[in-house]
Amino acid sequence: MSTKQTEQGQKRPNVFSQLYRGETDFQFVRHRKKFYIASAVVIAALAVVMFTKGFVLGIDFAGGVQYNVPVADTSATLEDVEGAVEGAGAEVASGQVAGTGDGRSYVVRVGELESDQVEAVRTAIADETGVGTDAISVSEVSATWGAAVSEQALIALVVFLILVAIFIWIRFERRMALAAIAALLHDMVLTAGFYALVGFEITPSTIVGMLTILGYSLYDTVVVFDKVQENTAQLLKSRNQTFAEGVNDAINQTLMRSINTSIIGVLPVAALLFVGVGLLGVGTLKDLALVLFIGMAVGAYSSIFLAAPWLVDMAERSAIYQRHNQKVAAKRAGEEDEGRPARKSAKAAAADDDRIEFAKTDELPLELIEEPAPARAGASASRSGGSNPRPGGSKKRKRR
Amino acid sequence: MASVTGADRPRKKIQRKRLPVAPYFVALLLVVGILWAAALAGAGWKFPTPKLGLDLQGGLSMTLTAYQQGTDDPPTAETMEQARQIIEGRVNSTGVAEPEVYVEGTENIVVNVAGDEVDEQALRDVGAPAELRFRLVTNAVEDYSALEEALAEESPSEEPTDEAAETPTEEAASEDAGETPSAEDGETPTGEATSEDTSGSGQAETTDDADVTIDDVWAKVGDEAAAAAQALTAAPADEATMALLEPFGELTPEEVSLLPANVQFFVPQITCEQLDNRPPGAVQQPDVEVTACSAPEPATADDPSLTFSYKYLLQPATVLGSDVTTADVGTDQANLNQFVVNVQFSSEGADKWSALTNEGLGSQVAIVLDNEVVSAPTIQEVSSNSTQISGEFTAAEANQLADQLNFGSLPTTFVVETVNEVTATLGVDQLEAGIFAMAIGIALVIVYCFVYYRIIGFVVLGSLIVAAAILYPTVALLGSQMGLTMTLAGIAGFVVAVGITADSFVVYFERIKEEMAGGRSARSAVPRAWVRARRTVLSASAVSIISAVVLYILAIGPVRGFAFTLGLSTIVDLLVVFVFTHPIAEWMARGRVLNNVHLSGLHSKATPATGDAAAKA
Repeated sequence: MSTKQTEQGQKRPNVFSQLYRGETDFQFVRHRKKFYIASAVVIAALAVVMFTKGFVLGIDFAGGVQYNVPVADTSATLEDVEGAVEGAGAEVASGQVAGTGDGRSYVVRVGELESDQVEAVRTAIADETGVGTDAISVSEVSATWGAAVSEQALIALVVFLILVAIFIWIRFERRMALAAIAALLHDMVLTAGFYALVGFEITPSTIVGMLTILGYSLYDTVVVFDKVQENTAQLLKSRNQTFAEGVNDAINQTLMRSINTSIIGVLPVAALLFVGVGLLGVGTLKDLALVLFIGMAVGAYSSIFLAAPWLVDMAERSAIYQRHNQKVAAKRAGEEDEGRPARKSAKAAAADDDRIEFAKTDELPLELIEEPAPARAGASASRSGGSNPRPGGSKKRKRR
Repeated sequence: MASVTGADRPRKKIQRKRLPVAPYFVALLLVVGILWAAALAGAGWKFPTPKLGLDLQGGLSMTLTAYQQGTDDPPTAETMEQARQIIEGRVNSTGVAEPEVYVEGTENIVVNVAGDEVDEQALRDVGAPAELRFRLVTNAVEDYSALEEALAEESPSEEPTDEAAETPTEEAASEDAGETPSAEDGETPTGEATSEDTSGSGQAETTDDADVTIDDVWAKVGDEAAAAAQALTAAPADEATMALLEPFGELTPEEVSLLPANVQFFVPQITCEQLDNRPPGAVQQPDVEVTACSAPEPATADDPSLTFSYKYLLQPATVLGSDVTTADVGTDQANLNQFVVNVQFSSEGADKWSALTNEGLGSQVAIVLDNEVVSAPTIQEVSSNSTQISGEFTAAEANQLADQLNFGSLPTTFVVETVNEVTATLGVDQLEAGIFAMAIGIALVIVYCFVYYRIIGFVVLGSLIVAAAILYPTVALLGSQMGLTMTLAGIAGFVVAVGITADSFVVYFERIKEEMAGGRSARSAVPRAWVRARRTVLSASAVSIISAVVLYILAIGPVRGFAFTLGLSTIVDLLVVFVFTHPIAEWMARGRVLNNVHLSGLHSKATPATGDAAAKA
């Protein structure tokens, strides 16, 4: 990054090799409003879908009985089996063929049954298909089970969000905690909306799988924030770069890492999804994999396009960064004329006094306070010793 | 380094950072060796295998949820543990092999039974409340079978003949016994009890749906024995009849439960052990005569292992557990050291209780629960809305009796929430699918890493192998020692964890790449990158671990297995990154491989800008 050979106008390598080198210069932060609007529009649309169309709830929420009939050695069709089930006095809620080849089976779901009816239906299926009753798997769920699982999941969610917010707050800073949690909520809403839109079935596994994505989506966010913290640690000491630019650099530098971690994270989940849908057709594997698959994709998007820009928005509300932006703008005005930072600093100059009041120093990470405590300075120097020249180097490249 | 002050500081640090890698590998080998040795030992020196969950080996899993009327507060942990023990006892009495009964979350009890041979109906009833019945005692005998068995083991010759002489009172026996309503046919309800009997009367608990019928049982013991048994109105005295009745001792508890109550009572070969192990709810029906035994009592003061029980023939129940409003423990007013149980009846219950005490004044009334007579006090006086049960209670016994009067035997009501029955075939299918998914997932990740990082892909491969070498024995060990079962959701957790594990390598390698892009040689970039990557990896893993722990503690259902394996893999991932991936990268950095543009996959540029870096350093 400290090389000067990639100046604009000169031969610029293609986007992939830039990506590979972490040298891209996408303006994530500058265009953040567009991403906000895009996300807001998508969420609004999905919210409409969620409220009008609703969710397709699995057997665990409605209550009912599911029969899994291996049908490798039978000529009975799914319709035959459904007919037999109806004949035994149960109403078929859904029937499907799962798996392939020897592993092929019919999965028939019916509403809630009395315990003796459960057996009666099983016997009816066995008679119809010639498969022994012992070979038919039955799973039975009461109507309250799904609600109980979801309730626990909701409790787990709240506890998780609180713990993670505390963790990020301690490990990074308050604003990052807020931005990360906001991005998480965005991921959840989007994932849920997607489920409503496509009509995928929601099971307790889906809900708990969704909680797991949160952990995963945060993984990405943490990687980006880690770099942001490193890049902006010395930011206020110089007038070379605004916070927004520092964050944008961090996103670009970690872009390949984000893409790589997301791809590598999604690959096994894709395998799980493939096997879950292809071989088993239904069940925990499919439910978990599907929600993870969707959630991870959304999570990768939100940490890059939303979480980090939100961080900028929040930081720019504080007087310290506003003043710093002014300083940077002033310095640049002396050198050259550039539109954006100047506009920004003009806005900042008009800031209310109460905003300044709002920005207490304890809201800043220790590294961002202008005169750090000696002990802490030593520690941060050892961690980010090499990062000092980099913002300077990349800034030169960028401003050209 | 651009800054003048920092010019020599980093160099010193790099010098220090040349870490000796050998100790790491020794430590790693030790950890892996100890884990495998422990897993082997845990498996009895065979190749250790993880304990498979029911969804992977076939079996039945049932979730019972505590249901408390009028309150949303979850039951206390003690209540749940008490309930768990009772349910475990009931599951065992259905005769299944190695059931697993555990409390999950705050209000669920999970019953897992492996294998195909599971009587689902019988199992379903283990969570039934088993409501209390008050039944007048028609007749009582002592059952010394347990004692005889115990003595037979010690000294085969000795027989407890003198104790048998103390046969208890046989008051009011003949007329009631003469009526002989056959217990399990239930065809002849005696009217009076049924009309008031509204809730939880346990009609569903009758065991007539079993494959065996009463006729099969008669056939099993033989026609003559059957006829002789049915003709009994008192314990047989002559040797010939005793010999004839011998086959009754061989009946299973289920078969015994099909016999008429008077046969169960009068045939001395039917022991209390058989009677106690009848299916749950065998004596639940209030409107029929039944036979039940008391809890074992010590036969002598000095040896608590020698016990005997009373076997009671009991009248139809007129007063039920639902007629009791409260029961609490108090002390006798005459003797404050004596514990008593005070029982309050509802207004409806009070009428029935006064009728019962009127009828049975001076004789015993049995409090029957779960096939067992928990107490059989003698009625001292006619009472209506409240009564006091006294006896030689200890405080604990009095409390237990009060609890039983309050709740039935289970300290709270349970409803069956889920029943999952997986055939062995489906289990194998799911196991194979899970392993297949894992194989594909790992293969995809490794291929991607080879393409992207070239020779460093070997480090990824090696790290994943090390992770597997640590995880496998750990899971096997946890399975054999702590009962951790590997479910399909758990396998899913491992598959997802492959990605998370590989991600920490990516963070590290990308960091190295970044340092090398700055013009460093691999030798100086690797330790430098490690310092920073370590922070990121620790932070990111901490988040994963938080989510896994929260899920494991708070979530219910099969997904806890998912959370567990995810958390476990994340911890193992950290271990692997610290003691394997990092040292091996350091080691490789000392050679020439990583500096080779075409092999390492860590280079940003076609030609490394060494001049630039040299100028800076």
